[in-house]
Amino acid sequence: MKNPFLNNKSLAKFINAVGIRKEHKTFLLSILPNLDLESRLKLFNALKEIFLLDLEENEVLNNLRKFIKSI
Amino acid sequence: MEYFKNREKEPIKIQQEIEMPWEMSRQDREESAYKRYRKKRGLDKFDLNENDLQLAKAICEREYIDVKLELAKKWYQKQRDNPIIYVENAGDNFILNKFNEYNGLNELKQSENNEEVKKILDKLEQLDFIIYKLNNGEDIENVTLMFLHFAQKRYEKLLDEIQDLSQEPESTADNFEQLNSKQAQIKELFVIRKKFAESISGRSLEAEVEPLIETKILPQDQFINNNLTEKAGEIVSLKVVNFFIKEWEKLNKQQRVEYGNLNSFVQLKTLEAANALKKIGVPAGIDPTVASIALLEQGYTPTNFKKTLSLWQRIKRTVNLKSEYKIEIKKNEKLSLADYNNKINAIVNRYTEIINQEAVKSLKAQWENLKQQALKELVDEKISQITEQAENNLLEIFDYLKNKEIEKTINEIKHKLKKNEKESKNVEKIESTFKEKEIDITKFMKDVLYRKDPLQKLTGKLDNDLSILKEFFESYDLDIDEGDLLNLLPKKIKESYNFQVKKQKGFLFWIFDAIALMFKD
Repeated sequence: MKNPFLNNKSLAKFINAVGIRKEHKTFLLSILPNLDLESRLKLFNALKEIFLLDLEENEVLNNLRKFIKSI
Repeated sequence: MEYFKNREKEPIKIQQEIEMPWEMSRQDREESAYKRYRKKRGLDKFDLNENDLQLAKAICEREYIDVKLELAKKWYQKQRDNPIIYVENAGDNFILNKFNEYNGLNELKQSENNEEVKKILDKLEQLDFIIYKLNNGEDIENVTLMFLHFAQKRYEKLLDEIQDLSQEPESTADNFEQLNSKQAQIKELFVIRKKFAESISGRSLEAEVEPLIETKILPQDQFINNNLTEKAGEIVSLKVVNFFIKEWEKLNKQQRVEYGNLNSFVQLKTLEAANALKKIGVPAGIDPTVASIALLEQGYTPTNFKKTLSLWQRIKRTVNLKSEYKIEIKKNEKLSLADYNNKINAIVNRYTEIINQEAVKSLKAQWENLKQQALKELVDEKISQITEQAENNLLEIFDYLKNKEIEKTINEIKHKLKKNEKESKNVEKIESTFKEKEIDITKFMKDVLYRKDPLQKLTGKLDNDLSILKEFFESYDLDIDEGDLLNLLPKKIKESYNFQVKKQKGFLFWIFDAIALMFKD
């Protein structure tokens, strides 16, 4: 596995870091070593999207809370 | 730099003809989660239109001016010792002009330690933010919830103010004007809150609360039955007043004083007519008061009714034979007792029928008003619930989107695993090795999105930025140098750099595209 973003360690860390349900994390971690390159890319892209959603969620919620508090 | 403040709007156009390993649905990249959620759930048909946004903006601007004036007054009080600025009893406009002229806002921002003023400054800043977003049509999805909260607070505040004003013992013209203005604002806020709440929830609130109407008011039939007698009585009373008012108007001052007032005059006249009718007699089951009013309205005057005996009847009476009265109800209109009874019955029945029809019509209108009021109250309750649940609403949206994304991917992966198994493809299990690098991808992404050092030094020109990119990759132990970037990247990717580097997500995707090409297996 040349691409260090797609190896087991990096993807496992990524799976654990994003905001998905526990059962999904457990499943993904269990099948991770069996995934070929194509599936790893798919998973990476999904996790990347989810992490962007995590950031967006945090920002929107923080903005809303700050607004409600100030207004 | 905040993540969404500089969110790019233009869609990414790079590399459409090259199959990229990191490719994702590019049309989705620049759309917010909220917009994607709305599309997926068909909520976009509840999207707010330009008029809604303009009204919301106007409401925020009004509040902005009030808050700014509040700050200006605080600043102005501090200028007491400055004769160039301060004048006793200055008006609001004068104070605001001085506040703007001397940049009082900036002065307060920089020097103010007072918590109360800081809070007002914060509020002004938030209003400024929401007005800017509404004005530019930016991040409407994010400001929708904010506006709903703001409108709810303003609505509640106005309701309190209206209650205070209504309770003031003396109502002056100024109070009346204030009350009217606040009530108009309440109406406006109700309309816009409803629109925003419907847009957020994707629910038609009026349709939703319609079945609940009977929790607030009686069904129409029951309401009419319960109130028919009272309403009919009210209508009759009004008709009587209308009937006698002409007579009242003809009275001179002295006569009016003798009667007391219009009401006592009407009561007396009605009583006179009813008593006169009682003397003549009314058919069984007929109320003499109702009958006399019905007769009066038909142009009869019960006080002039007379029992008469013809000569022949009088003779019969003198010899103790059974004599028969006639009842004169009008000049030249003499009726036998049976005809009289029939006539009174017919007039009263017809009159009662007309009054009841009027009463039913009036009660239907009254019920409709009650229904509208109850609907409004129910909708108002729903709007408040939606506002209170704004945060949960957001969490649900993100949970839905993340879940969709991961479930779709898991299904695809499962399908691929099954396919491999079916085709007896022996996919080699990739075991972790000691040498395997572990990249903290979330940290990497944040560093790129927020341009952590050394990326903040990027110039926007690839040739100039090669060494900075190399330094950044090195910080993640990625062996990519300037030569790789120059030689391994396709021309189109290199050309797109100048465009993508200016964008937040665009640059992240560019970096991932580049890495994928560098580490192609």
